Amino acid sequence: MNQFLLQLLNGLVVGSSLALVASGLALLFGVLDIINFAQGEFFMLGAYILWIILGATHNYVLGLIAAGLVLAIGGGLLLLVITWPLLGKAQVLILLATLGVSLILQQLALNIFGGDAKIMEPPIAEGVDIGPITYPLYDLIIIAVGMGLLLAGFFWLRYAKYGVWVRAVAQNRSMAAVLGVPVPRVYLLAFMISSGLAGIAGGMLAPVTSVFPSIGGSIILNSLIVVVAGGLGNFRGAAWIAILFGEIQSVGSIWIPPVVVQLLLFGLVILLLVLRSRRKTALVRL
Amino acid sequence: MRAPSRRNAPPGETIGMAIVGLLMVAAFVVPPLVGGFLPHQISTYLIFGLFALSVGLISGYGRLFNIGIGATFGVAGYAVAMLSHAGINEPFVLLASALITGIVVSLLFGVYAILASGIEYLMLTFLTTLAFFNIPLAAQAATGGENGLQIKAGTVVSFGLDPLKGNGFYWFTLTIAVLVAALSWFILSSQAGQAMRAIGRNPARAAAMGYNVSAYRIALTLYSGVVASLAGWLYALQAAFVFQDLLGLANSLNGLVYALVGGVDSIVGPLIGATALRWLTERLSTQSTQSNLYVGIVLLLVVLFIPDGIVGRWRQLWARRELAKAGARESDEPEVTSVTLAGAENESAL
Repeated sequence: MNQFLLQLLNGLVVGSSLALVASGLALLFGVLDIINFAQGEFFMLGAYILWIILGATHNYVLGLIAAGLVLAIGGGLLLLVITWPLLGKAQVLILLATLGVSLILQQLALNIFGGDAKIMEPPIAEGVDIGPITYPLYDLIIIAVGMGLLLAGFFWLRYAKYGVWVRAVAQNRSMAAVLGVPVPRVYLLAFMISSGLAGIAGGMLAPVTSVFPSIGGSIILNSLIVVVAGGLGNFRGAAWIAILFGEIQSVGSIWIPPVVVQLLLFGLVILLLVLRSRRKTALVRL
Repeated sequence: MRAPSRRNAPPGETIGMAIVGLLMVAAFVVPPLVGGFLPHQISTYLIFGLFALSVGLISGYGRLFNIGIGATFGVAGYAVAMLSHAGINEPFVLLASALITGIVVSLLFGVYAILASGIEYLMLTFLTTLAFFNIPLAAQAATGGENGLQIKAGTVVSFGLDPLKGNGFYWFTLTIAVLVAALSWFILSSQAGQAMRAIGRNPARAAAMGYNVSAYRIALTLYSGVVASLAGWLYALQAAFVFQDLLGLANSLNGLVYALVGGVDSIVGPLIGATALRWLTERLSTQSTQSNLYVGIVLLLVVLFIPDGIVGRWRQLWARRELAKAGARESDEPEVTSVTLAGAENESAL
């Protein structure tokens, strides 16, 4: 019972940070048909920025804000510069371009910060008694902040002017442009939000998982799986599936070896995709 | 399948083929003369060139962007390794098992091609290669898990040819590579190949003309799987060792990058790309530890500036030259890349 509760909460921690990264990916895919392979590296850079700020000022909140802002602006501009020349061309080119960016960022991080894992202390060290177990308060805060951001994102997408515009562009770019939506600005905003979310997620998880240059690898893989399973471009779907994934991985690993859980998840997602594709009726599968 | 049609030959084709012919002759003669480690090195390039070719065929001609062909390659290699551990070391049996297992994986990709296209297909292949990467971890006893698996029984498995001594194995690999390239060129220059190209460029149009899109795609996937399995089999024979990474995303993406750098719309392009990039990374990694950085930069530069690869660039330059000779004015330069990856005619999903 203790194990179960523990893993349930762990799953929420993993799931909500995964959800932040994955919804950034889903946003980019929905608006721009772009898969950003460098999202994992943005997560990593967010964590490193937190580490730098923590080291300099011991101010956690400042570090988190800095992580979000720097990644939003830097990542957004970087993506804009890289992908703008490629927008009319084959999609796989953009994927490979972001892959190139990811490799470059990984190596730069290795050069600048070294390959050792940077360990940070969580700003709050107390635990909270939940039933029979004591769970770190900080982790609960991660869950709360993650969920809060996602919820804010949902409402923003639904009601805010730019949120509606993002959805409009995602639905039908040319029609949105004809109706007066400033499409390039929406692009840039999507880039910035996506990178910013990854940066914040990285900053939040850094004290829990520590940071090293190759941490982005597993992040991007899990996020992509979540985005695919949620339905590419489906922002809310990606968030829910991320939480579900986090839970399955954490709770499942109590009884089944983690590798088998991974394989089962892959199989499930493949099956899901295949079934979903079959439901679309088309005489010829183009 | 009728004979190759030369009416649709890409620009610069004749000179290109002459150069390729010269290179082939040189490949048979020069490395054995130079000796040392060169034949072994070139055979590695050829093996990965074949792997890149299989990716190029399916992604370039078929426009089915597959980032999971590492699974086919790795499965074929593992089949050889696992059978050799079970005591089976008859070379033809190993070859057959490599081909069969690779084809089974390709059937999976074929199913994806029927059910999905564009980005969904890409994601399915992505998930598949990830899944296959994890299988050795889940079945440690049979596959050696993280430590990989050796191929036993020495040179018996490779028809008695030793990859490390003498030139026999090198010529063997080279012959296979040349035969596969020639066969691929022949098939793709034929009517079926043109149909495949048309389906890749614009499936709706091809379907409207009556071509069975799914059938062609499955055929191409299976053929590409055969090529990848051959490459995997050769890899197992040469390296005598297979490991997890061969199955995974990194290897699959490498194949795609090699094909892209060389030029996905050609047969010899992926081979050139594989050779060039592997040589480059070998040089860079001996001199520094920054190989990721350089690979990333090269990738960015290629994608941004020469998305049609080396062969694509060659064809562009020749096309301009031919147009200039035909008297077109400078300002009339039409976009000769209209049907390539970088072109405007990307009406299909990807």
